[in-house]
Amino acid sequence: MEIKSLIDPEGGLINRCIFADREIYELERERLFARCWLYLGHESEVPHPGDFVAAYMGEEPVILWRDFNGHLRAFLNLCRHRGNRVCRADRGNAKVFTCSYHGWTYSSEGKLVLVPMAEAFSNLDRAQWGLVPVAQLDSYKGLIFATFDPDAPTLPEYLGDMAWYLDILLDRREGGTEVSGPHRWVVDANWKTAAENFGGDGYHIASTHGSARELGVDTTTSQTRQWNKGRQIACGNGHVLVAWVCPPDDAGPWFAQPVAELGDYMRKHAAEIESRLGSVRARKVSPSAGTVFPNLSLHWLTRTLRVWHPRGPDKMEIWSWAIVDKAAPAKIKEVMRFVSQYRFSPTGVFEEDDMDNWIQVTGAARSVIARRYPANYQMSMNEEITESDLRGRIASRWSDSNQLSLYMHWAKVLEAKNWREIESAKNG
Amino acid sequence: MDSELRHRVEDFLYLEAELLDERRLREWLALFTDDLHYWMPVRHNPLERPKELDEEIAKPGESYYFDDNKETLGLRIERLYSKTAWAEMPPSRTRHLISNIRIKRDDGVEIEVHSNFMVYRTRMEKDEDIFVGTRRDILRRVDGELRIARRSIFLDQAVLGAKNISVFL
Repeated sequence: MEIKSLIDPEGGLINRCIFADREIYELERERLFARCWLYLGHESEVPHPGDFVAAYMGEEPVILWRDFNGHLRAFLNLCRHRGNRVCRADRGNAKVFTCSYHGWTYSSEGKLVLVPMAEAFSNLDRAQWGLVPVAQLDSYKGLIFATFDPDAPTLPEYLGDMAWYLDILLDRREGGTEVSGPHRWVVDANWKTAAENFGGDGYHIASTHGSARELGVDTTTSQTRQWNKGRQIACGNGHVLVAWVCPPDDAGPWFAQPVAELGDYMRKHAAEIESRLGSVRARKVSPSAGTVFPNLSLHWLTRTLRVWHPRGPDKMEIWSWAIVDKAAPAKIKEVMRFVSQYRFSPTGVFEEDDMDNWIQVTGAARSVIARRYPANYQMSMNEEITESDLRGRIASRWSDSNQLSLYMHWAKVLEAKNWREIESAKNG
Repeated sequence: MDSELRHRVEDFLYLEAELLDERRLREWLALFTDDLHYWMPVRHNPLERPKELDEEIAKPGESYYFDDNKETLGLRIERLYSKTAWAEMPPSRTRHLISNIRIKRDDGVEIEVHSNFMVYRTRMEKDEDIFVGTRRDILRRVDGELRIARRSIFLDQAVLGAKNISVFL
């Protein structure tokens, strides 16, 4: 299948089949989820030796585990013997995992340390039968990522300019961040519907989320919306975000905070925040939502992280966490978590209204007739705005520039046979 | 156990279920005290068999579906009366089945009541969800009437099988 032909960036048209085709989905599993850096968990979830959390990389179940030398490791949750999962818990602390089926036992370094009746096997070389490790694992300011592709670029190269914006959430205060959660739930929608929404869709908020805002529950201040200087930012490698740019007369890290208490908190720590982030990131640009390609999304202002785990072409499992400054007082952490979960979670007064939109967009992609009519991504096409002190390619908030950027990268990754081809396509 | 009290508590919980199923949400909210706490934590699968239920549920203040007081629960309800709360437009049809009602404690003012629930939800053409779990309520006698001062809800699912919980449990 010619993937690139499904995305028409000049015409602003996308063939709906990308949200429903089994063939495309299987290609995503091999070329995208088995190849890209994917979010596994947060360092605050596994602080001590032996701590583990169960995670997923695409559909692959994975164990994120801190070994007894303090190193982070990640393995496929798979007994090498017959394929049973070696871990059935969501999190905890373990010295070893023992498979329930025949008792093969693995250490936190992934070594096969015990095989019952090993003498009955012919020449079993235990060194060859350890847990399957990820190819690369690294963390960025608390966020732990891994990839199954040894040829993937390093994590800093992969994140590129997106890291500069991630700092605004992750590195405001000494000590970084910590997470609580996850919320986990299953939705009959293609994972990309959510990734593109968080990555650029400022447009849907008035229509989809008007009911919450009418009652004064919002993700930013009403002054921010009145100022209305929103930007789409495409960082390359498919990473995209939307951000507010601060009016000069209100410049400060409190700008755009969703509730007054958190504005006060930011105001109180403004000097520290500015010394860590510099004046542009502390005072001028305030990201609201974004997507780290392919399936990690964040909402900076309401402090949520979420992964859109694919579960087939027309199903995803959402895992979402509240993320707060570690150095914040307990009371402020509670406010941050409440602001986050009251808005973004299965009971979130914002998020619960998103679901049917994504489900029905996915449903339309299964329709024979609807597929004859492409989806419209023509908002503010070809408009480019200069913000010389920001990074990435900047467009108006009222634009599909980010979404097209995400899908063009998506098509490039699916068409490339290896990372070298992805890289050369980027340069060319 | 005082059978009159049991009848009173059961009637109260069934009335409450009726208000929810008839979407009389403002009347439902009036059944709570002004200092209400409506809490529903997330839960996870532990590595070892826990001694207490608390070990597999999130700590208070951390991760939850609901952690509401009267104001925040009230805002959820008022939102649903607006025209564009899309998760409930068109609205869900629910059936709250409340059972296994146990009166655990009564100090003359407050009564601790545990019960189980099965809530069936259907919506639009053929959406269907079933929410199952247990409630731990503190009911308070206020001017001779029962009111809910505290409700803790423990859903049995670890991974929620529904696209959202836009109804009340």
